[in-house]
Amino acid sequence: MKNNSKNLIISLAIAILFSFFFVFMANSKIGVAKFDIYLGTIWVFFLSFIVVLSLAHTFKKDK
Amino acid sequence: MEHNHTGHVMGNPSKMGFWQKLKMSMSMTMGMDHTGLAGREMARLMEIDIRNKFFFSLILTIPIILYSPLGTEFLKLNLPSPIPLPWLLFILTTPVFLYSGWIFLYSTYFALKSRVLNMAVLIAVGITAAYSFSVLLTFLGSADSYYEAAALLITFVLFGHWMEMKSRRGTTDALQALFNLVPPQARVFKDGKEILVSTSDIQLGDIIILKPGDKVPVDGEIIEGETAIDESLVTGESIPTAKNIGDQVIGGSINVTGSVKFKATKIGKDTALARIVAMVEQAQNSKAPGQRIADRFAKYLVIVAVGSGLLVFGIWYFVMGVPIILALSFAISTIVIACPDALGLATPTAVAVGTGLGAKHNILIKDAPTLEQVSKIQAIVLDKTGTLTEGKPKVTDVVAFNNFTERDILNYEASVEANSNHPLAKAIMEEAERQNAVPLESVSKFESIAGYGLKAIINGKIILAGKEKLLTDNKVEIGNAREILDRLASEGKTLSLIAIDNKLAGVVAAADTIKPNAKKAVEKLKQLGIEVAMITGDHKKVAEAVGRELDIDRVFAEVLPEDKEKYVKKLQDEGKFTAMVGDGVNDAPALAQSDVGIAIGAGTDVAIETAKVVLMKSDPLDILRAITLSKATVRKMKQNLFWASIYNVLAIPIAGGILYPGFGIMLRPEFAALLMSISSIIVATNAVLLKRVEKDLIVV
Repeated sequence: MKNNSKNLIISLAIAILFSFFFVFMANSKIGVAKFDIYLGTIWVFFLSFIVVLSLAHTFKKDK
Repeated sequence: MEHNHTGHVMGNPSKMGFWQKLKMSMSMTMGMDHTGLAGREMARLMEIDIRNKFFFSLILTIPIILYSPLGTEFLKLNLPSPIPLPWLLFILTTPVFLYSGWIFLYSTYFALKSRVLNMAVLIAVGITAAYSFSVLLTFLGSADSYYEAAALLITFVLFGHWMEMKSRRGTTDALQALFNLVPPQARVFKDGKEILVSTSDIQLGDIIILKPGDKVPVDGEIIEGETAIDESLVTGESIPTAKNIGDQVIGGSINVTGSVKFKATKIGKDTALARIVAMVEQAQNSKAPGQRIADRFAKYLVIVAVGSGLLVFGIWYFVMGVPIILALSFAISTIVIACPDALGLATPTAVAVGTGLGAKHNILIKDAPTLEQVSKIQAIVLDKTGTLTEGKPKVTDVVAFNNFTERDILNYEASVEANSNHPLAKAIMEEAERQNAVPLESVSKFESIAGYGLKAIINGKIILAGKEKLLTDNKVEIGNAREILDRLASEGKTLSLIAIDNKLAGVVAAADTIKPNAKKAVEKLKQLGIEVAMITGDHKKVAEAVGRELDIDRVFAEVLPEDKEKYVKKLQDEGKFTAMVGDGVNDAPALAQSDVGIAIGAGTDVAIETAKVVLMKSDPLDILRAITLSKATVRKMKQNLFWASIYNVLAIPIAGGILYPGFGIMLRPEFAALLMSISSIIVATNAVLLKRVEKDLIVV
């Protein structure tokens, strides 16, 4: 359970990091609509969270 | 952490209100643990629920496709719409997503909660992305949408899941069937009176009365009277056993002839039957459910799919600098096409066709893992009685001595035996009728000499019929008939000698005859490289005779009912994937212990319930048919898994837009869904081609 919580926190952290990264990158582009940033951020956060969580789980199992 | 049924509303669905039904329907998840009585009932309800969800989404998906770009651009349809198209599609898709698709969302919640990745997660990501972005686009007033992708996905995956549940049905009621052998009430002799008490109230030391036809309630020891008890339900041996004072009786067997009193020596969980129940239960629970191949593939595919969704989006949005909607289209196409619905169909369709084909040939295979396991059998333990032999004695030889004819022998034997309860008597009567050695003579002064045979007077002649000892005790000379008697006995046959006026007249030999196809079946099993062993509770001589006749090298004889599983375990310990074929209750623990339990013929309910494979006809060749079928099905499953996964791997880069910069080819999510459905159809068609194996089944 402890390991699982750790995975969850790491996944969340990486997902938030990716989202910030996205917002930063998108903002540096010229003429990006606010909506595009919202949409992109949700997408990036959601997917990166699942990917990292899956990877963590798979590695834990394979170990 | 497995999600189980503890939180579910259980009950009769026909009596449930609408909200109750809906609540139950919405709290179901994929891959629930279906053990125990409640679990089996749940599995049945779940199958109905999945079917309902499938038809619900199918009916709504048809107009969704017709109104979607698929219908308008591909089929050139121009259907009237009262409201703007995206809104109409929104209204049609929302119930599909929230009702039919709910099972995937809810399962994903449980899967993520326990960090388990399964197909439900991928499907949920695919449908949620397609649906939620479509909703966003619709609310923003865009004409674009991927509603049909979401609806098609849900429909196809539900179909696959429904097929899978169908093939998994036929779960066991073994324990219930076992307990049904015990009568609910018993006659207890107390204070000089006979009273009826419920079986559970019987105390140790109680005296129980058995009348002809009564089922024995508990284990005990006979203290008064003599009888024959049919223990075939518990021991699998067909011939009723004679019981005298001091003999043991087993709960669950049936008293055939006499009335006896016995003292209860084992009650409740200590009885032989209860121990068998416990062993079946333990053996069933000790096996971990085999993880399905498709789920293993899906575990890796989920990472590939979602990861590529992210990667594709990032590359298109930042590196290629396309608008966000286009980048999202590529990403959703990627996830949709990577969604393993063909992978989800790959095994269930092959299993459905395989089991269907089996059923057509009277071979019932209870679940998908079994179908796979049957192909892996390395050693097979065959129960003798009922599996290799007919299970009832038949007259095999009639030999006449001292100028008597065979017809005389049969006629006299039948006349005397007509008054007897001995199981051999039935076989003799049948043979006499078959050979027209009737009408029977009138018998006087009939006398039964317990354990030895019969004495009677026919037409003034003294007739002695029975064991050799009866004749020698009465000073009948065996003389040069000795050689024939010894030979018959060495072949494992039961003999009934007859003497007329103190002169040996002949002998009738009976044996449990070997089934016509048994030899061929054993031979073919050996050709397949499978080690064949025979197991029986019978005498070593009888067992060895049958073993010789069938060319079986390993024969386990005089095995007690509760020890049968040990011999199966012995083969397993030798590292062999072992199957057990049997038909009696006594075989149930061995069937459960084996890697594949096969019940044969009109066996007992318990054997049928415990076994994973049931051969409805009593033909031993069906064992081979089951193996042939299993091998063909596994081959199809592997082919399907290969095609389904290679398709995904190849299609992901195309969906990701690898061909867009160079050729302008873009796979929109709805086309991705269409391609996905084509891959499903290919996989399903390939499974149906399994039917070609049918000709091999007939030839076997």
